Amino acid sequence: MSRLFIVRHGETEWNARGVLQGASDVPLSKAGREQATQAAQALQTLVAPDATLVSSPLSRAHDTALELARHLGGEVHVDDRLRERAYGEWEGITPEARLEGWPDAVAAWHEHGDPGIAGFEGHDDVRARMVESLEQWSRAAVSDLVAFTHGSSARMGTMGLLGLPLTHRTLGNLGNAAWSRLRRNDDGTWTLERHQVTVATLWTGP
Amino acid sequence: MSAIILWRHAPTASNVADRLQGTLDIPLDEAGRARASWAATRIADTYGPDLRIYSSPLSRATATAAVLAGIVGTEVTEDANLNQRSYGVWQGLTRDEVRARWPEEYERREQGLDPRIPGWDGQDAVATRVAATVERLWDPERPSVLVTHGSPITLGLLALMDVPASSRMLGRVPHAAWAVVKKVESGAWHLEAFALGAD
Repeated sequence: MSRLFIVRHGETEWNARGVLQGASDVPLSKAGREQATQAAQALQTLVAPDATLVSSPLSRAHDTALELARHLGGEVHVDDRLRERAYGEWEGITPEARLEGWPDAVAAWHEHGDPGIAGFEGHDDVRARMVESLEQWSRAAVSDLVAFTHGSSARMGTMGLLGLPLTHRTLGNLGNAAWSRLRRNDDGTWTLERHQVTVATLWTGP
Repeated sequence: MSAIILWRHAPTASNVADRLQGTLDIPLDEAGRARASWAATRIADTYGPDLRIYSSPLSRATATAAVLAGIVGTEVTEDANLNQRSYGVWQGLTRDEVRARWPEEYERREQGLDPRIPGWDGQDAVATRVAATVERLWDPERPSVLVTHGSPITLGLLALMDVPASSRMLGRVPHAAWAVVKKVESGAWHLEAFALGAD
């Protein structure tokens, strides 16, 4: 039985201000590094010792992955397909500036997810590359796969594996350093077993 | 921020022995209450104190709900629509006994299908009943905790997400763990969290 853990990176300064990062490479903040360490300590007890670790190339995800690798003693593979959705012109600006400058596009974004602005990577493209990467790495893994990625791309990938349509949000975005756990069934379908787990809501008793 | 928290009752001695309870009323023991207390503290920290609590009438659920009610200082409202499904003639038997005596029907159950046994509550009926209850109890101003059982949580969530009850996309919430859903402006439901308070 193949298990897949999908982990979102720890917090950055931009996350704390509600600014979209997308393809921008923003490092973990001090709080984010602490989250990554705590998540790694918890995940170390949950995943198989020979789990495969793979990460988005963006440093906020990769540094979160390195924390778990340090605890498990393995390496971190890098796969560009696990990068965050590109937000084009919206990267690096505040939510207020976004609403002021692009009121119609923000409304369309909330309505169906596609604002139609320059450089914004659409749902179908993000889902396709995420599903392809997660399927490929999980089939190659000798035991569990732990994938370190981002809020929006994690949601697209998880909904893609579960066969959920992208017309609604349906699954909430993972918080910083939170994770989901999925299991692949014999018939190739996937089952969501955990979603939004953090150190604070993890039962560690008998 | 409002939410509906679907909380599965803490484990009973029958759960530990892997015995199917269904609508049989098995009480919570001391270990179960300790487990409920741990979860209740976390739920109250996130959503309390201004939350409503509803519970299945079975004592393993009302006793779990009472632990949270004691922390936030409110009452528990029993709602029969949050009851466990009936397992029919399988109730009171262990999983191993069921597998030995009804191998074919047990396999159907494992595949996500209804076993063809007397008294079994079908998955579509359970899904519809629970989803309608969540819709009815949703209050955009105040969070509510619904203390219920394993099958009602998974089946109710599938119906809210507009997914057939036979789908394998959603697992089971372990004992004393919870799921969180929210209704958005379009009327669609978002699954924010699933099986928190577990391993």
